Amino acid sequence: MGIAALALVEAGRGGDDLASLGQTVSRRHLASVAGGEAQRGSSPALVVLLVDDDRAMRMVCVVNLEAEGFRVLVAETGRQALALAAAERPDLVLLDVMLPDMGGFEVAAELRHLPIVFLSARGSESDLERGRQEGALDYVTKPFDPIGLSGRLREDLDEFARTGSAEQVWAMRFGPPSGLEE
Amino acid sequence: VTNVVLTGRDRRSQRRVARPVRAALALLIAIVLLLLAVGSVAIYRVYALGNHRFIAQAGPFFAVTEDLAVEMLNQETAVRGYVITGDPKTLGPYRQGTKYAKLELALIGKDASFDPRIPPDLRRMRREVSLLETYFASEIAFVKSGPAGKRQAQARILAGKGHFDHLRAASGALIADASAVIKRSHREQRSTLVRWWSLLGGAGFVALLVAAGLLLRVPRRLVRLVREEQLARQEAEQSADAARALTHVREAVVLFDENGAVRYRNPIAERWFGGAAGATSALEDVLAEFRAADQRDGAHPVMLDAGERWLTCAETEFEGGQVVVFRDVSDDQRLERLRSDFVATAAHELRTPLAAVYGAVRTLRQRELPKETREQFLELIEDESERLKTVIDQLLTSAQLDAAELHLRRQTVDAAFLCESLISSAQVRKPNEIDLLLIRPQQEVSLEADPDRLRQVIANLLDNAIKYSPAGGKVEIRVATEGRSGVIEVSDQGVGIPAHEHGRIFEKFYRLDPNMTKGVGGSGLGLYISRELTRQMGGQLTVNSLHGTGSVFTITLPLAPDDSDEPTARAQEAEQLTVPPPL
Repeated sequence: MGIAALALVEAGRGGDDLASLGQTVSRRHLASVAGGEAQRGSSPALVVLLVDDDRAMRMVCVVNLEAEGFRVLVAETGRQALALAAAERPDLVLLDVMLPDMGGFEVAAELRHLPIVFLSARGSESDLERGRQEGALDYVTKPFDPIGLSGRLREDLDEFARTGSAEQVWAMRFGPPSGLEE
Repeated sequence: VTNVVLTGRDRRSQRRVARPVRAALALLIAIVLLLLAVGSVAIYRVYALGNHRFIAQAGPFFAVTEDLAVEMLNQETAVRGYVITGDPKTLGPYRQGTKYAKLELALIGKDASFDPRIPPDLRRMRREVSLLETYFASEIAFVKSGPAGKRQAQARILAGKGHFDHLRAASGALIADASAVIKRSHREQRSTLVRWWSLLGGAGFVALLVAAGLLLRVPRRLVRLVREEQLARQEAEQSADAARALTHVREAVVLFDENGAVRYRNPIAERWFGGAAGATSALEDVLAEFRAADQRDGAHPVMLDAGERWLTCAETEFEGGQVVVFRDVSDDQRLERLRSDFVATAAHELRTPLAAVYGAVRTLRQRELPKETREQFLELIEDESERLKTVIDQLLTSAQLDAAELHLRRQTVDAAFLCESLISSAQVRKPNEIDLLLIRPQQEVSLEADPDRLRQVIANLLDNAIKYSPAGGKVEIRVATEGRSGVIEVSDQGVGIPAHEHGRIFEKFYRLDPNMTKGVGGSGLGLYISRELTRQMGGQLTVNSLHGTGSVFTITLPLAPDDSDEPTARAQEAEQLTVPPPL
């Protein structure tokens, strides 16, 4: 946890109040999270790399994911995300499609070896199709209920662990790809 | 020809053409009439002159012939008296008669050549005269030879009478023949007169008929010719106008004949589908594409030399051919695409803050959060709601600009003061790695502008400068006076804008990254609205930027007129600016 918090501070360029917020929240909810983890066989907390340039959205996601026992790494740009992913090897990347330096889809292409869930205010069929093609597990369209986010991510990860195929997870969420290609 | 209309001027020129021709023909008719009259009179004069000469010739002829007879009678009387009396004195009239008779015979002889019948009569006359003269001479000789001769002479008196009767007969024949000749000549002359008159009359009549015919037909025909010429000219002008119109329309127009051969193509068609020779195939390919696509009413992308263009195609059949009109709707198509992009963008721009607000509210309600975090979430909701309001304001402003419903105020605005207040409100929400600076002018810069709209423009530029500086850096606002204008420059050290995009970033809905897979959110309206607002305030907004080294946006606005009301206006302005903008 200490390392994650450090990485978080690093990614948020130290002074970001969001990063410190994430840290604080993580600490405060350590007990409850630990309780949850204990039920899952005291495996270490799942690490989520959250990539979003929108400060408010980051805040909402960090608070909610950490409340549910995730460890959250935060990146504001694609490059930060790539650096963090290389350093930390997260269990899941929660990736915004619009980033200031490089596109979310480009970042996804670089991080193909990791399970990716897109998070975007763009939710057209073509956006979703693009996400599927990039090998994502899921595509969460803004606005969404942050309370259910962690549950959804866990489901995605469980399904991915069971089937070993991102496409299977995608199909569970959105049906077979042919339906999307219409 | 049916739609050709002649003007009044054309009709007047038709009449002008006919008038001199009519006048000339009328003059011709008058001359013919005059010639006829003069000719008739001349012929009559010639006839009359002939008549007079005839009288002058024939009159003395008859008189002399009569006189000759009288002279011969006088001689006979004198000779008979001498034969009876033997007195030589009585021979006086005889000698005079002999002399006159000789003269008169000579006179008759001179005029006797006018008819072949006269000379024989004359010869007979001469013979009779000569016989009578011989008789008279022998009688006189008998009387002179003595009484026996006198008796003999007296005895032959009767014979003398016989001679005389012969002469009378000869003279009568001569006169009768001459009279007959004269009568016949007279008749011939009359008939000649009549013949010439009728000839002249006939010729004149024909000439008049011809002239009248010309008078009736030529001007009318001339008018018709002029009219036809005018109509032809007008028609030619109209088709020249049509050709000119076709030269300047923005559509490609191609005319096919009934066999499908190209009869005409306007310059745009030539440009799109190439020149005359190889062109048909390019044109046919495009037409075939449209026909195959069965999208003749819709736009269809076509590869032209100039690149891909969206064309529509309208085919109109008519008797004997077909007109095909291609219209380039690439711009419409692009605008349509921009518009649909805009809807996606606007939705995105509204969804992002909404997602944060919704997420924050859900979190506040469902989770136990420490007070500090709750406060941060409430602040977040406030900020994001303001962001929503900004987006909605932009959408409304853009709609107002489209409908030309935006009414700007003109006030004196202290530029430095306005920028200062904008910077201080931006300080609160800017990322830490950005330094905001205001470079103040040496003297106060008073602009003539709408303070609210100018604030909107600068705020937008400031937001952009911050948004497009992901790596941080300095964001500066410089306020200065340049000549008769005030200048507000907003510069950053951010990502910059490639030179070829400088013109387009001010277009409505235009975004550097239309797919929005990267870059910063935005409606694509901010710079469009900023430029339009600056324009409507009488100024301009320009950009100077290098990709990778940052951008400088420059607002140039007219300075406020230097009058005494200024301080009051600025005071009002200052008052307005101190009031925090409503959410």
